[in-house]
Amino acid sequence: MYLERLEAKAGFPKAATLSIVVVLSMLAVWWPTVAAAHGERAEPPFLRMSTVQFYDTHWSAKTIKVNEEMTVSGHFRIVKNWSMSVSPPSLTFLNVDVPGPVMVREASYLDGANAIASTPLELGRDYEYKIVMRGRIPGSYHVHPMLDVRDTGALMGPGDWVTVEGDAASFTDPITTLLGNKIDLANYGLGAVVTWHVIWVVVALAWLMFWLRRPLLIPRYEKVMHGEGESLVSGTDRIVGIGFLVATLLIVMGGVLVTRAEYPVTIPLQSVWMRIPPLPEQPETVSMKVDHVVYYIPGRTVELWVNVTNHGAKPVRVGEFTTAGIRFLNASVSKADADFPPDLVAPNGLEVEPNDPVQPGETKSLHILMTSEIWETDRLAMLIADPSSRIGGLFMFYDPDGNRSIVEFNSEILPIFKRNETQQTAQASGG
Amino acid sequence: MAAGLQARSHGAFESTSDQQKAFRVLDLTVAVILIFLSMALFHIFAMLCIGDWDFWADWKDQRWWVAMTPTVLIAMPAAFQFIFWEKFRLPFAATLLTFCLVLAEWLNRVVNMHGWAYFPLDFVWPATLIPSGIILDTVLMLSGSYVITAMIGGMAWGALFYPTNWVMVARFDVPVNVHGFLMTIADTMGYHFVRTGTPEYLRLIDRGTLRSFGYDSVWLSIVLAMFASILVYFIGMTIGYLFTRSQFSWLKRV
Repeated sequence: MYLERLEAKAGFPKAATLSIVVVLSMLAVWWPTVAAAHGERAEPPFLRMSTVQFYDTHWSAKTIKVNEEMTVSGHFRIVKNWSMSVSPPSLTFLNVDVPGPVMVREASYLDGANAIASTPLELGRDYEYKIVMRGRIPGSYHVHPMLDVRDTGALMGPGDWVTVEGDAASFTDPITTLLGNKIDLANYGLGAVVTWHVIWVVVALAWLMFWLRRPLLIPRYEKVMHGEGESLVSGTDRIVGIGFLVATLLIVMGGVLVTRAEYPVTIPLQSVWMRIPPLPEQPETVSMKVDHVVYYIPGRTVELWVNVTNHGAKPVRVGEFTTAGIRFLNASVSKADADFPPDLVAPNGLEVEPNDPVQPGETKSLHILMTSEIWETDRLAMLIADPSSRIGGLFMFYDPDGNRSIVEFNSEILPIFKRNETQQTAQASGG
Repeated sequence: MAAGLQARSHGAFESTSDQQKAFRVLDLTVAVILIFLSMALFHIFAMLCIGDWDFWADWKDQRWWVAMTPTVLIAMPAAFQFIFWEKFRLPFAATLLTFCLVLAEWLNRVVNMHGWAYFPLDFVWPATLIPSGIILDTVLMLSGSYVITAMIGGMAWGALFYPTNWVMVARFDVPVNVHGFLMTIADTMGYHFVRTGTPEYLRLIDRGTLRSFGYDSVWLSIVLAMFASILVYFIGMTIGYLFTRSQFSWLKRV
């Protein structure tokens, strides 16, 4: 017996060490790590490439103080070839993706109209948006413009980091009611809400304690089972019950009368749908006919063979391809904006062969290569797992004066796993 | 009679005092377990059935919130009420559940929605059903009849929900001009405090044909809630009845 105890004691340090290691290992799983945003990459490529294309996105500031404003603005195109896997934008809401109300939305506009309400949008049309935000909780947040589409979900635009500095306690959200009262939404009405809850909790506790203070389960169960249940509710209990019933009704009625006197003017909650017209259609100065498109997987390159026709009066060149908020730039034509998130730009990601301008009236065959690891890092290469393997985006053509023509692009895309297959495909198509 | 009761349940104890102490320990143990169980069960039930209507100040409309909340939430108190009255003649189940629901909701709002998600508490406060629960319990105690409790208590349950909570809601329904749009304070809060997963069009605000029946949809909703609560009370009561048929053999053994 003694030896067994000794052995058990000797084994204790090992067991304890092992236990600590196991517990620490388990805790490590839940140890908080830095949230790195980019949840948008979880959205399948077709949702990001064949629904809404955000472009010209601009963040007015990357650092603001609590209570300071910044804006997210730009344009988006509701693509003509909207994916049939999701519902069309018959009702949408211009939203902003931040991790909760760490910033408050002061205002939002679609084509200059107040976008406080939901609106249907038209396929193949462009809209200009602007969202005014104000700092509330200090921290760094990934801020995206976002379009919520009924029966489809949230469709996100490109995101960038915005830092809010200062003291969260200094945040205020003042508004003036139509009755002229100045209030702060940050803490409005909470005192009254808590007071009413406390009143009812006290009443409930009184009623519960009235019953809980006496023997409960077995003695009462036994009496009920032997047909003596009636004796368990006394005349005093009934009188107290009537008292609680009457008091409850009186408190409710009294509360209503007092509140009605305090707030004589109230209106129902408002929910408005409206129709905001799109931006005026631009004349089609450039058109594009797709021959075929492949994704060369080892080279992380999307290759297109297209015929471009210039209907305008000036020569044009391909400057940019934008899809899912990612920008592939033809370095000889376009430069990235200084404030655009660098992880969403491939500065030399667009090669055009030949890279000469398309002259007015000319139709030119172009071989376009879009090469970047972004296809993989942003998970756009996951197209192959989509229910419809189509690539979509916007080509930006520029004339010598810097005027821009936007051409919507949508095509089937084939994955190429070996180089020679690409070449064969290219040869077969004459590209 | 008392001697008979003692004789019936005396076996395992050395004295009546020991027996009473043991019974009291059992009472308290069950009470503590029951409170946490009720908080969890009723909270989950409420979140699944009415969810957003109770989460946000700008979802507490005059139609769906008023009609849905009491109608759906009477089911569980009815079941518990049947069990506690039928087996113990205790008329506090509805109050206990509504009390536990409020505790669980505040816990959720303070820790989760305010502490983790940063929503201000004045935007995510929960509604209360405690007055409705007290009325349901007192009607059952005074009448001793499930039918009368369903008819009178159920109607009162549905009728009291809106006035009980209107004293909190009213201040959030004051009109505001938001960039040229007429909105309530609650609507404005919903617009300011960004919810990425709850776009504006998801809110069921006064949608439906009820307005074509009358100008004030809230009264129609209250009447609907009153009658629907009666029906759902019977459903809940039936669940309680089925539970008592199968789950009380352990207590008989005790």
